[in-house]
Amino acid sequence: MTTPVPPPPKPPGSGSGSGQEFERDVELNDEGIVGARWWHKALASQDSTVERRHVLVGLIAAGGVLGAIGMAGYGISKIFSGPSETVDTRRSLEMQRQFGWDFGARGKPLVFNGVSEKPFVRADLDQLPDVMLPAYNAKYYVNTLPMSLKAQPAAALPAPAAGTTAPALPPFKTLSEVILPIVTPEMEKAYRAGEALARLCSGRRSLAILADLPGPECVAFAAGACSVFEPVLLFDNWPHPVGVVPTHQTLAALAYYQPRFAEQKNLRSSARPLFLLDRRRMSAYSEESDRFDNRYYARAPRLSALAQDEIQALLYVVASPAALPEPDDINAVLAPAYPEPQTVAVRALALTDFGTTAVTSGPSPLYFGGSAETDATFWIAYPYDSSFTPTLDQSTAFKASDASRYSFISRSTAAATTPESLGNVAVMVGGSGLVMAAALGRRGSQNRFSGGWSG
Amino acid sequence: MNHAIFALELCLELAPDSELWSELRALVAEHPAISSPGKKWQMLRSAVQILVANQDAFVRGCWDFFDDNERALKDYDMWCNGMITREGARKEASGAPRRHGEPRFMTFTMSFLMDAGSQCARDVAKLCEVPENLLWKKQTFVKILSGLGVMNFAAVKSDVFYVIPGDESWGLTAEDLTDRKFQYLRMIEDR
Repeated sequence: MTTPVPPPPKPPGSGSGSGQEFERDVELNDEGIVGARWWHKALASQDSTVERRHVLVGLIAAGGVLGAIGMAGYGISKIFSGPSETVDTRRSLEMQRQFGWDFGARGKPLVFNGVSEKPFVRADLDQLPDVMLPAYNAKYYVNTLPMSLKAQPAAALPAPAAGTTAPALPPFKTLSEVILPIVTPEMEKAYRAGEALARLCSGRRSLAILADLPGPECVAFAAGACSVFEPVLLFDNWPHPVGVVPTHQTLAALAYYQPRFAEQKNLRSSARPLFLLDRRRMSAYSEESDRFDNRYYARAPRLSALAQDEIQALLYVVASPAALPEPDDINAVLAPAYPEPQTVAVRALALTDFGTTAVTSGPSPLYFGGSAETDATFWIAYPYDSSFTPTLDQSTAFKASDASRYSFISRSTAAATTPESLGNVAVMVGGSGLVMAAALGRRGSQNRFSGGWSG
Repeated sequence: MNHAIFALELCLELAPDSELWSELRALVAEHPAISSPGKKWQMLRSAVQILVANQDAFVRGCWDFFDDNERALKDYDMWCNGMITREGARKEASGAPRRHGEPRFMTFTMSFLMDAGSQCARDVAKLCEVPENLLWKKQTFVKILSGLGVMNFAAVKSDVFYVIPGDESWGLTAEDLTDRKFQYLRMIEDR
């Protein structure tokens, strides 16, 4: 049924060039949402009496929704910016989504170590989000990092107030325009360890892996293991030129292994997940004004959820026994304070337990314990294969590192780390409470900001 | 200036062959960065026409009018943040309804921050005088939509429009709508 719309009255105030214009300050256009906001310039400029308390009320409302500090009305700062500016705190990722991944550091280059010399088709990066979207475990997937590649700022920082000069900044470039694929010796070793673990686990369907390694090595490990395990990214931040977490290297590693991930995605029939976390996500960080806090709290799946997926054992993979105990966010998942009814056994596994005793000129396969003979003793240290019966030789062949005997115990101190305590950035807030600029690089003067201006 | 706010959000079922989503999406995405009260009014009129013509697809919704200044400012920020933080948007594709045979849904949201002392605000207030037992009726949503021709953009300080999803294969699922964040969207009663 269609109800007729009444005939339109003549639109009032349709004149242009008289301050009656509406100006768009926010525009979103991606797969999830399309939207925009406009401001009536004349009315907005008339209303210079907007008070900060109104905006703060809005911030509280937004914070209640997402746990994020909102950015109420930052766009209208073009109109409402006042003389008094203060430093405040906002969620880093939200600022990057609004103002660009390089928020406050436009033009500062990313530094890549180990740039690959292999042919690289930059346009292929457009496919990375699709390549990394799991076929079986999408419910656990965190798409934050792949989606950063093509992200454009949704809004521009406000123009400088009258009498001030904006610094000349280079044009914005998306991450997909600046990322370079990397491969380092550490990544290659992690790749071969991944291959070795995949070989060992082939055919054992009830195992899952949570790899908590430095980002590039984590990606390389997953690339090595992805013939058997389905990679599920849990990277929940964006790169930044002066980020505490060098996430651009993780993205660069994904770019390097993208062909491998794409190929194996089409071949793989297994639903066993391999969750990827960047161990540097909670790197120690003090209130340094020249660093951008892009750290994050892991959103790892609960053991009870994995149990529902018929996972019986989870291997928590770390670089070495020295990487234990696990960070607070993972402790809360693997050793919950209030244990959930679940049947997932959790054991730690150190990459240093994979090696080779072979002397060759090129890369050789890695084995658990270093040789083909010790390789099968994996199922002694990790008794998740009921069909495996060790021989006498095998049972004495290799003693795994302390990681294999590590116990996950709930730590009361883990609760002190919360998602909100990570990933916050100082910003300049105008007199109306609106974000004016990132407050990176401040050196005792609140008037000198990257991406802002000085008077 | 004291402020008033009108906001309306509808959740509609995405039919595979319907142009509802693409028309609303285009309406928002293609509206110029610099606009005029006249163009804004035409935009609203077009949105109303599309929605009313597709009232059979209405599933859930909500609408608000407040002329309390603090409430209006707070609520307008809230509606804007719903867009800016992509609160309701999915994080990944859900698949087109045609392909998966499961229903998919979209939302269309619009909110207007007005001069509370204007005739426009008074007209909208009058439009929104609805008995409580009719608040969630489809006929009420249609009546309000159809009456939005009274919106005078000379008195509208800011407006926001958004459509979820931005890509047809990112439609909301029935399970998505059970999430707590969508609780404010009530089932729309047919009669």
